[in-house]
Amino acid sequence: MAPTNWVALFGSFVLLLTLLCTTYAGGAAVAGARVGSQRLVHSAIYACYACCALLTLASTMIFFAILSNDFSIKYVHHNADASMPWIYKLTSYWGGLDGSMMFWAWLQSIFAAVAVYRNRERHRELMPWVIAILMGILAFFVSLVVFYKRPFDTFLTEAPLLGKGLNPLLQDPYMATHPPSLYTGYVSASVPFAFGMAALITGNLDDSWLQSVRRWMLLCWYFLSQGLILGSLWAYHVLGWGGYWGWDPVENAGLLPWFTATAFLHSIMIQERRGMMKVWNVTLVILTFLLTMIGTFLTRSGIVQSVHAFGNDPELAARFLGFIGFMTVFSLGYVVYRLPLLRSRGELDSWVSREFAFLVNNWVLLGGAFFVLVATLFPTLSEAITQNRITVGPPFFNKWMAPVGLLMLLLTGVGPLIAWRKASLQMLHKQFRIPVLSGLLTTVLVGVLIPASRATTAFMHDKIQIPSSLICFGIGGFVMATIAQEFIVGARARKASTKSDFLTALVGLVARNKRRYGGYLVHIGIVLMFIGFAGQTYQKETDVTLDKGQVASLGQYQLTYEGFRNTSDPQKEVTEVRLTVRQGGKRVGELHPAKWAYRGHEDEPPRTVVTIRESLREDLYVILNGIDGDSGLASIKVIINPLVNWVWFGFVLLIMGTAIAFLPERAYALASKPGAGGPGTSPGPATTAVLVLLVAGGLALSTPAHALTLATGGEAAAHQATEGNNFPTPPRSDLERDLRKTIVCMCGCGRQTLAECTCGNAAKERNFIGKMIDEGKTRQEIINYFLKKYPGESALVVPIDAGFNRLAWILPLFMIGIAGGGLVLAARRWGSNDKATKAAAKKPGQPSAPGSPAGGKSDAEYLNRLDDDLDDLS
Amino acid sequence: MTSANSRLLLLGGLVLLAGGSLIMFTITIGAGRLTGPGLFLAGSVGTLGVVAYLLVRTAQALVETGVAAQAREEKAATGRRRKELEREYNSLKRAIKELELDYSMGKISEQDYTEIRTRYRERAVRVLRQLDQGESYRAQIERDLQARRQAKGLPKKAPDGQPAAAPATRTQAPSATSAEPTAVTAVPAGALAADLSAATPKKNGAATKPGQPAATGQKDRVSDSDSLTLPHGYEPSIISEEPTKAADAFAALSLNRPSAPAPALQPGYEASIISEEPTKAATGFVAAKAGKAKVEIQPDGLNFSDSATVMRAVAKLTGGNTVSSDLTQNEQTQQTAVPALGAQQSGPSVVQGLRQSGPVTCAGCAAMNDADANFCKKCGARLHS
Repeated sequence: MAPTNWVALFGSFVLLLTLLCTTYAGGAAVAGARVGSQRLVHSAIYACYACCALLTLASTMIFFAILSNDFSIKYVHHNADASMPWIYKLTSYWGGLDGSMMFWAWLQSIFAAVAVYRNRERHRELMPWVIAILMGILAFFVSLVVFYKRPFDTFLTEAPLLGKGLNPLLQDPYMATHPPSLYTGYVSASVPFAFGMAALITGNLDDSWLQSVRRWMLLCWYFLSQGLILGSLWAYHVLGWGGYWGWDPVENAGLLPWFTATAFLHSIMIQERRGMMKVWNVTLVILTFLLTMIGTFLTRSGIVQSVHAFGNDPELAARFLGFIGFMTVFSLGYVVYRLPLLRSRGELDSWVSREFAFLVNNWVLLGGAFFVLVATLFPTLSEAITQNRITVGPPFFNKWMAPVGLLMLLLTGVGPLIAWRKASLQMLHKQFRIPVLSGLLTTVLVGVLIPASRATTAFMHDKIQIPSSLICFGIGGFVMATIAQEFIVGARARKASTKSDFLTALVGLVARNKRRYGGYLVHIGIVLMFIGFAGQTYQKETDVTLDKGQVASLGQYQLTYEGFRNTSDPQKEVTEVRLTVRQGGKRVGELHPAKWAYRGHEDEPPRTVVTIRESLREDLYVILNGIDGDSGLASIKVIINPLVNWVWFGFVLLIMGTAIAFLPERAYALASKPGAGGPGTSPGPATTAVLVLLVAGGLALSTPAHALTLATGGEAAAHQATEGNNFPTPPRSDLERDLRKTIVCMCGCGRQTLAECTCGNAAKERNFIGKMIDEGKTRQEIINYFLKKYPGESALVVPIDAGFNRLAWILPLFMIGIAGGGLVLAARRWGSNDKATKAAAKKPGQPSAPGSPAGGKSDAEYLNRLDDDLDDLS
Repeated sequence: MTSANSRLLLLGGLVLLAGGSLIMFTITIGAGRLTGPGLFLAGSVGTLGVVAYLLVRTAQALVETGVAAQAREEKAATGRRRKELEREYNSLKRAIKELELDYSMGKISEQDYTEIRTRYRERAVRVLRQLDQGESYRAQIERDLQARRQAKGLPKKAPDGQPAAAPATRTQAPSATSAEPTAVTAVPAGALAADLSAATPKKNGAATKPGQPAATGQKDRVSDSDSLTLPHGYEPSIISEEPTKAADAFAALSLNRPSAPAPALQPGYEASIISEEPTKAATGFVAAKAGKAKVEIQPDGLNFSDSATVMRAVAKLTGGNTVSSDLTQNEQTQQTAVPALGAQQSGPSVVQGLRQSGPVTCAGCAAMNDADANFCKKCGARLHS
């Protein structure tokens, strides 16, 4: 019998107390709202804060247990070990399933407390219900960690002396920050949801609640973006398969709410300006929340195969499904109940208007979300219906999502150019002339200067091949010109009104219209990301086996294998090769790809440590596939990834744009208080210079000019290369390369192809394919062999396009078509409302012009004051 | 001891507690060296203090009574409220500037520009007015809630010294988002009527003159009206932005004065109209307006037939989901709207209360006075016998 662990006992007690407190807070809030008791509501507010404090206490207890290597607590034993660096010990809090649930609950409680604190006086009718909803969600997660996934459980027998340690793949800076970012994005979606539901419950469905949640949704959107990018960085730098986005189900789970949050951030502008789309906006808020729950469910239920899912847990899946089902019925049911109050007030004046562009934007985004959802769940669906689990891999997603992406990018440029309500032909001509010319010019220039960009890819069907990369560049040029035009025209207008110089006017323009120009900056970031995506279509790669002194060539690079060395530290054994890189014959540096074998994880393949020589134009990406310790032969994969850094640059701009949009007013008030000119005047040249420097500094700091080398050196001791029979060999023909990219590795490490997976099983399968080719087997015969070996079509990266499998793309297309039809119908209806309104307005005696507000005697004074304040702002 | 002091004391106590614990754990766990476990354990002790404080406050909130507690709460609420109002005012200023930029860049039509700008400016003025007022905003909200509680038949929860809430008095400034008909409708109706009567055709023209900066129009427009004004402290943040057909409806109601082109309503009221119970709310408004019209203009009834917009708005509000785009046809609209209105007008005390809420005409000089005024503001005669 193990001795009592007081830390675990206290932690469990705190969690139980949290559950009680959460339940009390929700109950008191509802009771307070029903009987109109402010005392109860106040008590609920304090209880809400107390929940946050309690979960903080529980979190500090688990941190304490992890840092003090208390392996008598099962969770600590499974996810930490004494040799781990302290920073990864801390991240192991959310590295396992139980801890991640508790971490989620902690974040949820923090956000709930902040949301309640900031709004407790602003929306007094909504607040009790906001608390109730937030506490309801929190209670669900806390009950899971109290009754089912208990992070403070201890061993009943003698505690082990050593911990198992965090999965080596997770011991990485990107992975240390990727999950918290995604969780923050997920959790922050619950605040808008709570406000939306409170508005629906109370019937206070005016625009005020939307004002409160917009920033929360922006926060949610930002952290989802950050989480997705950090995940991409991790995949690129750690997983070592040469890319950054593999349509992994867990990453897709983060992308789903990102789509709906993006749609909301755009469509809310229509409601603000025109009073339209109330139902849609509240539905988007609900959908975003539900998709975050679905994302959590996908990651934790084990129903999808992913490189970083938490494993199979049907019981947890059932609980999540129940919760999601209840929330769906409850929330969407309320939307239906409140439909009469959510009637649109505005009308669609014209199909050529900003409103309609936003509608199309929403349609594309939601279409994308639905497509990704269906394709992600299709293997599970297929298994449930046909008993055959198929694989829906990246080629399938790329084929269908490329049109969605390009359309989305196009709308990024079209939207800002079209006027609200109705755009005249003259206005369209004036606005579109330069951007369209720019787009065409970019297409021609890129097509001529970078011939590789003319490479065609499958577009919705294998037989439809289009130069999607070149089209993407062209649209990118169009959007960039659009945004430049917006900045220039805006700065000119401001320059005229403030009588300042152009640069000062430009900075003032951004500072004074932070939401819009912050948004444009985000759009520039998105364009840069798309340029990066476009570069992937002309990626080059080669697999080679080198002996010492041999040279591998790819593109303009020559890599010479200089040798290898083995080192070790208390945590791992390192095998590292040294490659000299020459560019056009001139030595430009060294790269050290490596394999890290973690102690205590001998049953797992060693971690691949990638080395990358980065530049704006392209990355030289080198992976050590394996090394034969006896002969010293090294198998390496060399990839040239064009324009990848543009993706990361785009993200930097996205951060800056979001920060500009998010910064509070007072930040700008401070920025606009130069020594000369007095308070509130327009930013002077000094401010201009400071801001320009800040921007330039930010860019300079973010420039990845250095070659990123993740491998460490200088460690001593010896290491035995353990690849043995699994020593990887490069493909010797196009057929072999094609087969490696067609067949999925079934080792259970995800859905990587044999060309990508670095495990021993993949190495064996690769060698086996080579053997079959040597035996004269055809492509189809080899594929048939794998189809027989593994159930269904699970061994194929893209399911055979026949029979039931066709549903994978027919279903989303059908739904997108239906949604498009609905969009047209809604637009027509709004349009007919408008005509009717105008007809009614033409009747004699009917007021037509907006009138004046009334006011008392002091209104004039107030208006004068307002005008003075506005003058100060200009 | 002030709340700020006590908060400071509390914070100091917590810091001391955590700091003391850190020193202790540095000695006991790290043997004089700061360690991670010691740091987190000290953090736990500090957090435990916060937990204890919050749990006590949770319990205290249930039993807290007394004037002092309320005064303290009100004071805190006023401070918070002020910050929120300032935030809203700033965001409105930004919205106006952004709109001006849109207009100067040719992205928005002149009509839209004038309409939206007017709306934002009105909201900004309301916020400014509240910023200037001295009374605790919270107290007003409490009275509002109380009035609605009373209207709902719930037990009265009046704070000490608070007069019983009469739902239809102007000083009780109900919330614009209120779901209950009585309190919701009373003040807005009065204020709306006053706003409508304040606008003159000439000034309207000035305000919407094409090509002219709206600021000038605004300044000219709001000058010397002696009409009833929106009660001070009226909730601005929950006032919606869009003018609506409902606003048109009220504007059209004022057409009983033939010379006056209908001015637009203060758009904020639309939020009230489309609050929880549209039928009651709308009827309340219309009923209140009807009562007001009788006092103010002495019309021979309200002429609904000449305004399709009136019908559309009223029908929308009264009919809720039964009314759709076909409401643009006058005849059909009247069939929908008028019976609903009539039914409610003959209804219970809601309407009665609302009629009492209208302004009072002085028997001596015929000047209009606030509903709760005891003496005529023009001649000083007693208004209520």
